[in-house]
Amino acid sequence: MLEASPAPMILEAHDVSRRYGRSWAVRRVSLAFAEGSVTAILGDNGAGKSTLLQLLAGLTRPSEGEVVSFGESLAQFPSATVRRKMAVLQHLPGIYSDLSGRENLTFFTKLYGRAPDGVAEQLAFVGLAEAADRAARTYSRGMVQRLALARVMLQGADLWLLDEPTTGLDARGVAMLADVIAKGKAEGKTIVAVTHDLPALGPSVDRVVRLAGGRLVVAA
Amino acid sequence: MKTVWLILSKDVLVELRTREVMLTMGLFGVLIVVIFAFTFQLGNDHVIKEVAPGIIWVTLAFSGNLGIARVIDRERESGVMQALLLSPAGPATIFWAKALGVFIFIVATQLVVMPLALVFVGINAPAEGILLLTGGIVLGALGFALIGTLFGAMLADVRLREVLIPVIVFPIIIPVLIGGAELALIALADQPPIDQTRLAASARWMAIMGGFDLVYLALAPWLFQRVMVD
Repeated sequence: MLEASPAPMILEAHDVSRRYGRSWAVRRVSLAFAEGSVTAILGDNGAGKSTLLQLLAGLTRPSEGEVVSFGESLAQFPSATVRRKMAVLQHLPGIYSDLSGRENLTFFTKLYGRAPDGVAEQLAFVGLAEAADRAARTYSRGMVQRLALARVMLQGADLWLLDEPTTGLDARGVAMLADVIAKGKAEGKTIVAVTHDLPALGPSVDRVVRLAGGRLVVAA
Repeated sequence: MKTVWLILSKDVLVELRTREVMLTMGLFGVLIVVIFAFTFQLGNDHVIKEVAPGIIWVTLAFSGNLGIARVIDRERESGVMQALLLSPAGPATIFWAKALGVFIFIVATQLVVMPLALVFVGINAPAEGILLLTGGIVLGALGFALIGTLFGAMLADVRLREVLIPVIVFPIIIPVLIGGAELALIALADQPPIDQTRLAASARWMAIMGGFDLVYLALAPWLFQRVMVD
């Protein structure tokens, strides 16, 4: 009987550190993320979780070490090929407040060179079908977060990097987030989520890592 | 080019919906013209033609500064700039779209404010003069949009950016301001039609402004890419 070959690593951090002034936000972190896996990064405030996510996204360059995404070193800003394969939800949602939910999703879908066919479906999936044509500035924080999650899903990326995806979500929103992650996993996405709230990510999480003081303290 | 158009058309759509940039720039521009008209107590035709270029270019610089701050603010709020940077569009494409937007907003505002300024100060400029003046404004607005977008984006997260942007941008665009004011002086001069000597002087100033624009057309997107990433 043939043994299944292990999934390839599509994102790797090799001994990565990031310093701001004299303090280290992230210190000598090494992690690898297998294709199709769901990883939760936990840690207290100031543990370095968001900085690590910025390093993994290529938005911040490491002071030491190297991040490799889809085989490409992120010592420089990620190439268009890597950016196309990566969807990032940052702490700020990245939504235009003067555009409606539908217009926001249509804009970002086109920005990724995709046809905006799935916009209505994704809006319904995140529970925004009725608010789709209202300006995003009229949305609550939770609705904006739902819209931002729909944006991530519509980009068609293979890798999702989510920074505190539960921000502003109510109980139904949290349940929806678990569905989003489960759907992403079923589609073979590699998901890395920084959070305080592990249960909110649902049962799809394969691995939990914990940061404290910028260092990796648990990598299960 | 398709992506530049996508981002630009989004900016225009938002502007048509909110009218924040054009209305602010236009009202501010008109206010500057009115203040100049009163404070100079214009009545002497010769004095009017001497100060009119200054009025037009001060209006462009200060109202343009307001426009830049607002256009960049739209991308800063809610972290949209980082979402754009991480898209396949890339920093240079984003720069072109934003700079083009600023350029269009400045030119559109000046197309309203400039005739108003001429009416307020009582100048009846000849057709070729208006053409020259418009050419200068287009070249000046381009240089201003390139430099303004670059530094506006660089300083987007800095406190007191509304103060810092003009403090940094205005000294850099001095060649454009001088060229534009000289062109306006020729355009509004007393003796129509514009003769060969004045045409040659106009061509010289336009070449200086065009040269400035060309340098920053090449340099600004590259610098934007360097400064916006980490």
